[in-house]
Amino acid sequence: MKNYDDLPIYEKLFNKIYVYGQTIWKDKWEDGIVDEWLENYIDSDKDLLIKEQINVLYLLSKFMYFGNKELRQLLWSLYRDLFKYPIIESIRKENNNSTNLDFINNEFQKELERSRFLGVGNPSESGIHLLYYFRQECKLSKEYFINFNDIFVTKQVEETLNGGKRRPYLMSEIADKNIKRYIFIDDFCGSGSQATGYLKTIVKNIKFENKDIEVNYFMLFATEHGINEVRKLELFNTVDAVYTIDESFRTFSDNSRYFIFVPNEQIEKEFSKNTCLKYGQKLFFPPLGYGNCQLLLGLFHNTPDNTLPIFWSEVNEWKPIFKRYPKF
Amino acid sequence: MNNEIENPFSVTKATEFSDLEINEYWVNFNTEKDVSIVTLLNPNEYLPKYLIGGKGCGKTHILRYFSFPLQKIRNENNIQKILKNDKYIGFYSILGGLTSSRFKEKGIDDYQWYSIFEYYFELYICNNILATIKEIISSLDIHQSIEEKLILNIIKLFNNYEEIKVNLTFDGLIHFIENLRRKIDSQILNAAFTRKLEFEEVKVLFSPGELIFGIPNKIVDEIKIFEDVKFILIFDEYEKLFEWQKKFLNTLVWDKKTPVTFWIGARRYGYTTRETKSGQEMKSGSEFQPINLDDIIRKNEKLYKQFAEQLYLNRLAKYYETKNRKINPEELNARFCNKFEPMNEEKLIRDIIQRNNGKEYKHLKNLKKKLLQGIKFKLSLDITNENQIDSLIKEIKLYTNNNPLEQKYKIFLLYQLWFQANKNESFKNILKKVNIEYEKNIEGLNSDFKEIKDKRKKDFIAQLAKENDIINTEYSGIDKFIEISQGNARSFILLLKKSIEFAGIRGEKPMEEGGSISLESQYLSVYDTARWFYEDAELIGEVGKNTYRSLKNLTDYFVEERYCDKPVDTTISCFYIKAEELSTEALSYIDTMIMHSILIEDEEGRIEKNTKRKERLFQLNKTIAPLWNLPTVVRGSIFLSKEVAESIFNFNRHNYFDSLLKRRRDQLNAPNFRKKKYNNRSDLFSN
Repeated sequence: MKNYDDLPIYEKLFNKIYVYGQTIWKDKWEDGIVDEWLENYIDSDKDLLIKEQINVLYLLSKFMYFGNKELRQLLWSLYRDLFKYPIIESIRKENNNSTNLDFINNEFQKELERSRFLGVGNPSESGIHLLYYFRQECKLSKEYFINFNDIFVTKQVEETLNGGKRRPYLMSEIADKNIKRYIFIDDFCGSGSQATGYLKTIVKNIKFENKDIEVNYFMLFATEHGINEVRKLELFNTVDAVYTIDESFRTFSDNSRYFIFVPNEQIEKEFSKNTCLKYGQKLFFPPLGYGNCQLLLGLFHNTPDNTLPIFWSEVNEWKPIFKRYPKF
Repeated sequence: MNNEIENPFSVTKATEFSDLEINEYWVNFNTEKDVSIVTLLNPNEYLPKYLIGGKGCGKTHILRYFSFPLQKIRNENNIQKILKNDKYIGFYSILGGLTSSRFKEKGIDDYQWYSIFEYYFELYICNNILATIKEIISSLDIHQSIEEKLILNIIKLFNNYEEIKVNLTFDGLIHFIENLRRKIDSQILNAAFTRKLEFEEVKVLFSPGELIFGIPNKIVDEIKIFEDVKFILIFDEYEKLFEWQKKFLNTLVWDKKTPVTFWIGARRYGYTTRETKSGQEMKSGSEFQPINLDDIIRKNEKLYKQFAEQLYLNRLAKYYETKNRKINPEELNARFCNKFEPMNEEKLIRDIIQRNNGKEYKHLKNLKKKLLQGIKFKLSLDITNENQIDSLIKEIKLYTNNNPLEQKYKIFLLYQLWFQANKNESFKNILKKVNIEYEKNIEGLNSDFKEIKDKRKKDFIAQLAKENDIINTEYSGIDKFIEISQGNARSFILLLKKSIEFAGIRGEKPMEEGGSISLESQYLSVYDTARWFYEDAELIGEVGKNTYRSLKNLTDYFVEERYCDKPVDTTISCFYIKAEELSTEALSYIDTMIMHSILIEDEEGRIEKNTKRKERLFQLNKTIAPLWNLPTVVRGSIFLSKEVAESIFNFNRHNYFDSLLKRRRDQLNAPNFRKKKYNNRSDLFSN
């Protein structure tokens, strides 16, 4: 039963953030980091400055950071909920709702052996990097993991033309005809540009070769918009994410979850937005994050640029709190 | 930051210390020149002691300090020296280790439980005694035949000694006793299913006291070097026992036989009975000596300060030693104290001015609001419209140089005069008087503002901090921490621990050269320590619920007194009552709050002005006062009438509290204080 005064709002937010710093943000935390970050806000008179600091501290107190441990757990969820359970469901369905555990496990093992997991993007990017943890967490053999160029095999073949002349050319085909499904795994999907651009051709080629091959795109985090964009392509059999980021996660949207209840009258959505715009425009374009996503999201290995730039940017000597390692 | 290593105050409980640390961090509390905790406990006498105190007052540290492992450290493992010089052996046991709550219900008759507990208790304690004696004897080069004879004599204390087959060694005897205990453990463990205790497994083999007094007696008889040695059985955590278990322990104390005596550590709220099994009460002074640690420490503020200083200096010295740095105590003290950013009222005022840049201060807005309300209810004298209010506010601002504190002083006098004014008085006259007095004060002449500023500054700063939602840094500095801890060593160490933690997290590098502990870090540590004290008060069930409600009512009342338009008393954290007028229920809850150190009773009481009678006087524990931004200095005290005190402390009258609080709020605040029913009360401005 709490029957005593709250701390003043500034200290209350600070205190909450300290607790995060000592616990769930532990692997990103450095002593003094919040004070340093607050020193970025210097463009106003003291009365306004305090209000700006209170508002950005409030946003910081709502920041969702997923550390190493949490990410590994999410990868396990991806495997279990998006990959394994649907397969088990269909095994049971096709076998009179069998509850025979040994049988189900055997059948699942067969399906697993005919599945291959792939990362999305360049080998130096996070999608590929995550596969290592994914394999560890899900205790999978490395034979289930391949690169893009392992999907197809290219051979030199010859054809005989009408005149009897022989013409050599290169032909690609699915390398392992026994494979039933490919699963592309990514950490984050904001606008869906990875899938709509980079993956599109590969998936089209797979389907061209064999339209029955299942190709799925699973992500740890994805905006509702991003998921819809990828689904619109109608290339993948399943597009899904462990953690779907709906419109309510867009910090300053009409449906923002962060401003339904605020703990103090000084915390205002419009004021917060203006503060983020004011400082954000010196840091990134668009000033509220890539695709104007306005997210409060950081991951252990990187912070998406869809997150508000005041949290991650390093330009113009800005001191970030959840630094982003940009792609060059 | 690795707090375990970087924070010299990370350990706040003596149970977490190793024996070496208990010795290194020991500070004897010198109550008077030649009287100290050591002399009060006095291991040279047989009089049993009950060491009583709240959580964190240092009981465990003290009791462990007298235990055999610590005696060894002090005597450099020279056992002969312990026996010849100390002339006592301290056998320390934690009663919590017995898990005494096992000994009930499960379909077993209460009398069986009583009997089995008494039996088990002696086996448990004797195990500890024998393990220590074995260690002593093995270092004394005692001939094997003497050991055999001693063990044989001890075995003869059992009723069935003829049937007992054990090796005539300490190991053999310890093993035998452990076996008996294990059988009982197993029976208790399974009693929930068997609904009985197998007689053959739990059969009592000696009468109560025969082993606990018999073993030391046989040792003294058989081994000469033990001739003048006392066996001090030190039991900690008495509060964990059931009432009937406490009575059994009291009976042992009452029946004690040389060379055995007892020291028992108990939480204040757990020291609930002096009764023995026969129903007789033990007599304090002749049969035992209660030592109330809290009272002893709180009565000696100066000595507590020295004690607290020694506590943190010991920790710091040890900390720097691990960094291979030796610093003399004076320098260490100076360096450490300097790390604490001092309270700076000017900085606080400047902060408020800057935060309100171009805006009207809250206290001026409030004044306007009160006057407008007054107009509505015809309580604002000659003020009838908003323009008049605006000019009045201009007059308040006059000469104050936009300083909010100065304006507060002026507004206070305005409220006083408004309250006292007769119907025909005008605000113009009131303001004139306020400004004349204020000008006199500026010029250094005697004026009403002298007393206002002298007495009320702290309260108005607290009001300003609250109105502007900033921290009131009045609780800062090492001396303040000592004061706030109110004689409780753990609270004090916790304040330091949290200060270092918060300062570390904020990047202030508190333990490094040139590092500091900001006012903000200090405030957060004070608030957090207060929260720990509040939430860990170990108040449970219906009594807990009612006690927390009483505390809420009391603090609501205090808050109303401090954060109002015209506070009557200054810096209030104390109250006094006419105890004989109050119900048993109210007094019982006051006692509960004392037991749990939520309230501290001032033994000197308060002499009532009119009757010259001494009334009971209490203070809200300074450690928790910051949770409500209440003062920690003992200055003002208010009288709680029977009606108010009952509504605060008697759970049957709690439902009257809100209306009484509202009445008090109206009395203390504009414009309702002008209402006739309040205005006639002559006591409102008397101090």
